[in-house]
Amino acid sequence: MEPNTWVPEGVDITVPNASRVYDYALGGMHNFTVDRAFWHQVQELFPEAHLVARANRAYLGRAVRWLVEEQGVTQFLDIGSGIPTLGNVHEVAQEVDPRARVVYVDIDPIAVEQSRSLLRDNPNAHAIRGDLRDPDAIVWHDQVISFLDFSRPIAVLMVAVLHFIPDEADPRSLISRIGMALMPGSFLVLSHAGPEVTEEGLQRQETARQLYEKTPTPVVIRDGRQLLDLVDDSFEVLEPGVVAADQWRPDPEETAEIPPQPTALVAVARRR
Amino acid sequence: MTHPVRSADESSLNALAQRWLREVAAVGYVPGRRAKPLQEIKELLLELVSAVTAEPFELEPGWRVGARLVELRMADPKVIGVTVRLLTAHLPQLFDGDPDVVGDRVPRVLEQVNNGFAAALRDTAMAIGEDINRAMRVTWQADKSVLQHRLQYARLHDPVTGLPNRAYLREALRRLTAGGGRGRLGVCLLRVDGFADLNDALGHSHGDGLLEAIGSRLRDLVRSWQDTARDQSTGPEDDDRYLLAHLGGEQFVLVVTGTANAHQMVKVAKLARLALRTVVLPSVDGYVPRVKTSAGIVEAQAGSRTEPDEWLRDVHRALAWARADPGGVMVFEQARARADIVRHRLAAAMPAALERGEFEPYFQPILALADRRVVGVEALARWRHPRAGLLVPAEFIMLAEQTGLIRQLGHTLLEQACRHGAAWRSHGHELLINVNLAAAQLADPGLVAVVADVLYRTKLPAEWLQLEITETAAVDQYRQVLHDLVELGVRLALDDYGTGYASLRSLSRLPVTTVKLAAELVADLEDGDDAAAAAIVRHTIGMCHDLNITVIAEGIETETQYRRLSRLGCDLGQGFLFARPTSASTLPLPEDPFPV
Ligand SMILES: C[S@@+](CC[C@H](N)C(=O)[O-])C[C@H]1O[C@@H](n2cnc3c(N)ncnc32)[C@H](O)[C@@H]1O
Repeated sequence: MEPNTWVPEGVDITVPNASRVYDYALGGMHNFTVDRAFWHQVQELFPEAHLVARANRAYLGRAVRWLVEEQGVTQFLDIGSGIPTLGNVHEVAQEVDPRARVVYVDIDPIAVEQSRSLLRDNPNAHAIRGDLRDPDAIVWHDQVISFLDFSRPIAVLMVAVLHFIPDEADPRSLISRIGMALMPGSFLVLSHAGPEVTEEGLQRQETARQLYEKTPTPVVIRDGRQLLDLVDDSFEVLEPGVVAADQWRPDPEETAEIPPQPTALVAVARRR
Repeated sequence: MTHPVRSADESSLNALAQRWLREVAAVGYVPGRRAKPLQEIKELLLELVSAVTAEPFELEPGWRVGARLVELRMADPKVIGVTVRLLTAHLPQLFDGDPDVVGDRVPRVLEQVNNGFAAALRDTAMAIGEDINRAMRVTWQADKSVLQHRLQYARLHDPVTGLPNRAYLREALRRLTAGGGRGRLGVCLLRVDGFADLNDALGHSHGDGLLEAIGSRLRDLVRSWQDTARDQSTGPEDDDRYLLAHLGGEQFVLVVTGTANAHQMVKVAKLARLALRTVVLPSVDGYVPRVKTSAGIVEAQAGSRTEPDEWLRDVHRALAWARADPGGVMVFEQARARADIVRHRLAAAMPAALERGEFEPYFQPILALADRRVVGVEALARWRHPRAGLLVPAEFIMLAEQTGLIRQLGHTLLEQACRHGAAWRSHGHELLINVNLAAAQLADPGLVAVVADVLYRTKLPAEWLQLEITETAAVDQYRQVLHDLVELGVRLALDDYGTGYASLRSLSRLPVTTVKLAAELVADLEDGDDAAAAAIVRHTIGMCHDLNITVIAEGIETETQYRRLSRLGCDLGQGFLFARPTSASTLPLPEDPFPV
């Protein structure tokens, strides 16, 4: 597939953008006024919202470290990677194994460009533009296929991105397509926005969801069952199954303990 | 005053570092395990401690520590708040020296930490702002160039086959011929015959599929040539010798550089046509249609035409010839093209010429061979062209047929001929007026009415009009028309007999009363030793007579022919030997002794 065949989404800084909003939530500076204003609205509904982002980000870091340290994975394909903020996949992975290779994929061209400038001096990490809804274009992208060795296990990360994929786009089959390109022993690292646990929380969540409707990337909330359903039989979901982000292999050594965040659902699966 | 303050022990230092990190991590996100950031924080703490204890006292390290926090991406605005609060309260406890000195120095160092943090935060924010700007510009430009690239691609390629299109071909030809070009160049235009029919037969939804199949077949072929060329390559320029383009619809173009002669292009065309015959199509009503093509070729010095359109124009001309040729492949020739141009000019002038009455019949006498008496005339079309002079049918009849003007032309000649015939009759000259009828006229459903009308208006008795029809495969389907004409009283003659199709069959099936022996048969009689020719003519005449059909010999040019025809029993004849066609006014009338 030629890298040039998909339509560029273009850059519109007059609407909030998931990658920049998330960057701001984590304390980053790669964002615009609309993104910050948007986040402030979300925070009015959920004053602890930034903690969900952190819990998610911390899980991402733990999962990557676990994959390198305990599973010997040295190749990562991070889809929906966002703006390089704190605790990027390559930083975590290369700290354990400097040879670890990472390809970042995001639909947002600015996020990609910023990742590129950050990675300029890192020969083992690349950033490309891609759309999870067109998984073949990602897997067959020149830089992916030439940089990652598909005859060896690869960890594919879809962290805090699947909730931007509506049911119409058939996320289950998208994941299957990617799975087909992977060797047994490869991994999927997933996280997803899950439902609030109280009635009142659900209402506020619905309001927040409606806010996202106005962005180019509306959010779909899925519960644990639905998240599991996105993964076909070619993957085995590993212990402890679908859990809240902070419950996934918690590390007592971690810098900051974050109060439990039940709305960040996560799971790691292995290709059979 | 040496060592006004002394730094504290390791364990309280560690404890403070841990606390500091915890507070920082609570307000701003610090990823990962504790060990590494803790180490960093501890180093900052040590630097602050040594700043406070240094002699002379320096403020500088405070600034560096603040900036370093930002660098470590502990840059949340709240980080500096908790830092200053925590260190104001607990840093002094790390020293046991002069409390006044410590109390003076610590706040001043912390002030610098704050300043360093703020300055670094500002710098970072601005740098990031610039980077966002740059990133936007880069993406914008990348998008633009992708779009441009795609537009350019779309501009230069056919949307169905993805092959280079006409615009691309033009640019390529311009490049190849620029500055007089180098060497020779061959251009072959391939056209799928009966594409519309094929398309209909396959169902229109297959149209694009068909073109795609043809495109990819040609692409494979060209690729194989390229591979061969590369294998035998003597230089890199051999890689690029072939270009395949799709002009849209059913037209494809092959350009070959470095050709030696036209023959080479003919070979290219033939291979392409052959390859296309093997394109597999779905079967239609139990038969599998084949892709047949015609090919026009221009092969010349690259500099022979400077404009791409000149190449395209000429190759289109060659294609037009090829389509009319059973071989299906034609090479462009300048002379023929010039003749074409003349013909096209004539064609364009014809409608107005008809209006102005520039067409008139000339008459060639038809004689009874027995006594050389003039019994009739054949009306032959002439075009009195204001500039080109008097033109003979060979120069315009085909054009009239192609342009559909033949009906009108036939009509005016018929009318004029009948008018003259009637005039001669009124002067006592009884001549059978022979007028040619073109196939297109036969196909005209109004023909019988037209003939009846002409006879009525010119007052020529119908039996004095003889219409000559040419024997073609199509004549059979107009049998009804011919019978209707005979009903009118008109006579019918079969023209050009002996060279065409199922002669014998037509004779028995068509209501003809006269046969005109083709000039070719007559010419064969010139050779006295040609026994076969004589036998054919004798046999034909005999058979016609058996059927009660009169025989006219055409194109009698010599006495020998005349004599032999007479001896073989031929009834009538015409030819240069007796008279050339002349205008009505100069026609020698029957009473005049005919000059022999
Ligand atoms: C919330 S961020 C997650 C960043 C990172 N994966 C993490 O969890 O820390 C979501 C990212 O997904 C990207 N994204 C949204 N829809 C996408 C799609 N269809 N294909 C690829 N990326 C997408 C957004 O641009 C954004 O950068």
